[in-house]
Amino acid sequence: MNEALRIAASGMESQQLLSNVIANNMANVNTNGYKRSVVHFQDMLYRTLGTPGAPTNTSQSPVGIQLGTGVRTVAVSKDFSQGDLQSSTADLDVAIEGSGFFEVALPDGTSAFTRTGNFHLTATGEVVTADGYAVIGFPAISIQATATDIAADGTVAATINGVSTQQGRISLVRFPNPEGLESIGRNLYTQTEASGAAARAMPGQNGLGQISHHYLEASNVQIVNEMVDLIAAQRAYELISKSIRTADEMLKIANNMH
Amino acid sequence: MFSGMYKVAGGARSEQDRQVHIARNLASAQLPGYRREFQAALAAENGGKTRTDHRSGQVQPTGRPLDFAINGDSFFTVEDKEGNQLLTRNGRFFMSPDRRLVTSENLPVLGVGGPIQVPADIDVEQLVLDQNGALVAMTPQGILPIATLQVMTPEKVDALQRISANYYREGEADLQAGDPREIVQRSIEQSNVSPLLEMSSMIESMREFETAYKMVNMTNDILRKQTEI
Repeated sequence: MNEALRIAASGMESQQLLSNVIANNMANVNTNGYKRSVVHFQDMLYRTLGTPGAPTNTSQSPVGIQLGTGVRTVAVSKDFSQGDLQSSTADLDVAIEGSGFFEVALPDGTSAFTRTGNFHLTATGEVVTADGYAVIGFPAISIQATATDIAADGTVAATINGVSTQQGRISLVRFPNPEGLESIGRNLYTQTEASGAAARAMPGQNGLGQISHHYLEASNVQIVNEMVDLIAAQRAYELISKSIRTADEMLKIANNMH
Repeated sequence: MFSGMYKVAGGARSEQDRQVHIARNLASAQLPGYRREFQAALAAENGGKTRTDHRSGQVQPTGRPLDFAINGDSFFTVEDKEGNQLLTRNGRFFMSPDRRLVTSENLPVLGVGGPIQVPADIDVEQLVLDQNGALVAMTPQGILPIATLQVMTPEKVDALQRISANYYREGEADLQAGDPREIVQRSIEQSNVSPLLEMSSMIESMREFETAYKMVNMTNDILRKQTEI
């Protein structure tokens, strides 16, 4: 009987986490470059399949896999499918149409990767993200430029004194397994062993997407799908809670035996 | 006299087990490829034993390149930590840091010649199934064969030994090589749990439990009366 209670509790916990993730996706429906999070469930084994202290891939399992019976949430990964492109007027708004990431330099000297392309120019002509991180692989633009044009292949041209001059070319990076990237917030991701090594190439080459100037990539959250998933998660939560109530009721009956 | 009391108590005990099955089905309803378990009726063959409902769940497209489903009766094969072959219908796979195809429990997925290793320069997005069901990578240089996912069809599906929510051992099921063309990519098989069915059996089981306990109490009352004579 206690087993039914425990299994139901594990199910409710999973549904709770699922609702949290869906809520976060919904909150970011208007965040440019946001990629929706997906919850993955893991099977909890009925019988001994692992022994306490056995090394797992990342650590040592603190307890054996013997008692667990139900489900648990194992991972929350990102769905890197393309978001819609929205037109904008800012001169340094770019979107990647296809796969690939912009590389940005974090203050601690390491690199992070992003799909959000609303960039800005500093007083020295350096291209930075909205958070002020320098974009690696984006050519510096002369501060005398009155207009900037970026071609689909990443070539950046600035108009200085009415004359268009080339400033260089944007390069992008791609990963063998983007799902393995670690999300560090603010639409930034860092490389992990699971994602594989970043490979740098020009837009349109080596399977990378092309650059769309004057466009921003909208979030890939589909609000209707999230709503449906949320309703399903809520109902599942409710159903499993009924299972707890029933188990409780049965224990009550058993306790009233005279 | 006493035997009657034990009989009804035993019935009540089996209703408690039934609640465990229902709780597990409800909690696992969102595990891809999960198949509902139930308790065979006491009168039937293997009465009272836990059985698995092996009807397929719906195949739902997800767009994720490492999601696989099987349109048929076959099972994917994975290897557990002791090197034994396990069967599963859950085709939600992941790429491990050492570039092997693994399940969410980190068990390597087996191809026809062993665990499936994907070269480091291949992108997950490039992986597709060809017309023979083999996993290939569409690279700019051409089509690179990776492996064929090993699928097995049990001759006697009910003889599979269930060891967890989503994993089975061969047992007496007599495995035959399945047809890899039945595999669909970018889709997942949903669990075959029906919330309606589970709810109605939950209520039914609960009432039967109640009845059983009432009968225990009644038997007890009769015994008490007898001792008062």
